[in-house]
Amino acid sequence: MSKRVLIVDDDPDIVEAEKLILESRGYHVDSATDGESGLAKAMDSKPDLIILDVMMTTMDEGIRVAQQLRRQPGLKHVPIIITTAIGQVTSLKFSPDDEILPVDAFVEKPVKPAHLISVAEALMGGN
Amino acid sequence: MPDYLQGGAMSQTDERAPSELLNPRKAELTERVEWFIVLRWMAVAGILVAVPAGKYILKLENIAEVEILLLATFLLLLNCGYALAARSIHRREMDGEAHDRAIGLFVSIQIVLDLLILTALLHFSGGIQNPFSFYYVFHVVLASILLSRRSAFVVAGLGTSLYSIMLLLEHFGLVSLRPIEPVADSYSTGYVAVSILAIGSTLFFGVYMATSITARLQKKEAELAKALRDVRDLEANKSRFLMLVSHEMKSPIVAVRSILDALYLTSKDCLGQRGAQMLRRASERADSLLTLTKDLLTLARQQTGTADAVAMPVDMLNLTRSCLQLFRTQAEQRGISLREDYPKAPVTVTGDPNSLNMLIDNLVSNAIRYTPAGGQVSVGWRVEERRGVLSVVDTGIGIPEAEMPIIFQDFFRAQNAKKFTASGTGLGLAIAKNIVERAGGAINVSSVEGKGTTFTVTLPIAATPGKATQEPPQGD
Repeated sequence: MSKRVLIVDDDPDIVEAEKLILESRGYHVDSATDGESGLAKAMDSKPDLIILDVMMTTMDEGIRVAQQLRRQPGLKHVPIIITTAIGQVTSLKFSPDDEILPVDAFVEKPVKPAHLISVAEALMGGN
Repeated sequence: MPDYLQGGAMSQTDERAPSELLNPRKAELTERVEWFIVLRWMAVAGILVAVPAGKYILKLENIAEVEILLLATFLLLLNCGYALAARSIHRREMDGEAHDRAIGLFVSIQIVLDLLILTALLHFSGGIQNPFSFYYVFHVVLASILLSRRSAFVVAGLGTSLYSIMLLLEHFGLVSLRPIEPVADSYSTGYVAVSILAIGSTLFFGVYMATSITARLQKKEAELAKALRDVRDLEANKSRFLMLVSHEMKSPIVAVRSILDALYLTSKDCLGQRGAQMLRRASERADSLLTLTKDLLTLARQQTGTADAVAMPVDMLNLTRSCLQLFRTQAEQRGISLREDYPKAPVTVTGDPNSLNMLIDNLVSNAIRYTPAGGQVSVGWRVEERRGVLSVVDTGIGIPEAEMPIIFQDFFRAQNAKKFTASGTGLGLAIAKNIVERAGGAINVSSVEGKGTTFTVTLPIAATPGKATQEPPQGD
């Protein structure tokens, strides 16, 4: 069975683009357009990877969703990629154990397909 | 219309003539000189009324009315001359300094002649007995407004000297006394009335002069305060507008680029070579628009003072290393060798890590962008007297000498840079300079066209090199 990715982003075009990229590699992709429904879908379907946008309805909605996800027993170890158009590449290290930003990786928007695929594969293992 | 576009300053109209708005001091001086002439017309009228009134109503029979009336006539003629001269000065096209000099000379002549005439008038109407000697005050006040402080003191000295000379000449009998009041045990009612009138008119006129000046100053001050507020509002509106535009523009461009890249990935094989190439080009164009938008946002943040909210110790060597890591592939693809040179000791600077990262990013990406294949870009740090010095040296196209003074201006791109590559927003160096200045440092450039460019950034080293940490990115 193919691995499942959940994309949480309020921009439907971004969702569509990321979906196209990941589906081309055979992943099964589900999506949500806000934090709340994203959290619900994650709890429901237990995906293998979650891609979270930082800025949705509020400035830090994605970060708060990530913190919530880490508190769910079944989702604690699901890798999270956070995406945002921060405008600057920073040399930060990401850790799923971080208290404030408990994510595994950061991918700057607009995502470069090859980069997204390599980060996703590294976190989930190949499909 | 959204409220940030409704600038108060823009909607107001100023009905003054452009020349007055451009040169308020000139307008001000011209007006004061006219005022001076008007006062003299009033003085002549005053004398013409005072002489018969003094003689026939107040019974001050010794007044030398013939001499005084002659003097008044002389003053009247002089004032006609002044009025004509004032008009001619006003009409002549002069620059600010020449105009100030002409007015200064004109006013000085008037004041000196006025003091002489006033002294003569006093002499012919009682000398020491005449309480209108207070009227010297007006000339001192006028000189204080219109001339320099030094000249005003000279006028005070001149007034004192003229009055003293008159008194001494009278005292030693060198000129004959013209008493209006016989020396007696008590003063006549007329003399008392004249004295009261003299002191009263001096005091009230003094207040009128002083208050009309302060009122003018207060009005000016209020105008200046308003102008300053307007400028600040306008600046804030401009920056708010920039931020909004940048934010709203970023999302669709990010979406466009994401879709194009996803399409390229999945459909390039069925599009054929030309189609795939066009898709690539579209993506690159979206990317340069995105860079421009981000740079505008950064510049707006720097201008509103909302940039660099964080000030923390930053390990510049680590920051530079990881920043250069991201340029390796690009440099290799372009056939440029990228060299690094670091000191053994750490270079820790206090500032915002995101901004400092952007500074290095901007300088290095510029160096790579404007260096042809086979060239070299060297990035190095050294420590000099508690200052960290970063140098970014390239063997690129260089900057034309004539354009060196303006390379840090917003949107500036050198002529040869535009020819060399279409990419580049012209904002990178403006942003870099802002970042360096905010961190208390300096940025310098030296360049030879066709040979290469060296950017040198000097930043103060943090007082206590604490643990250099890094901050999570802020979504925007």
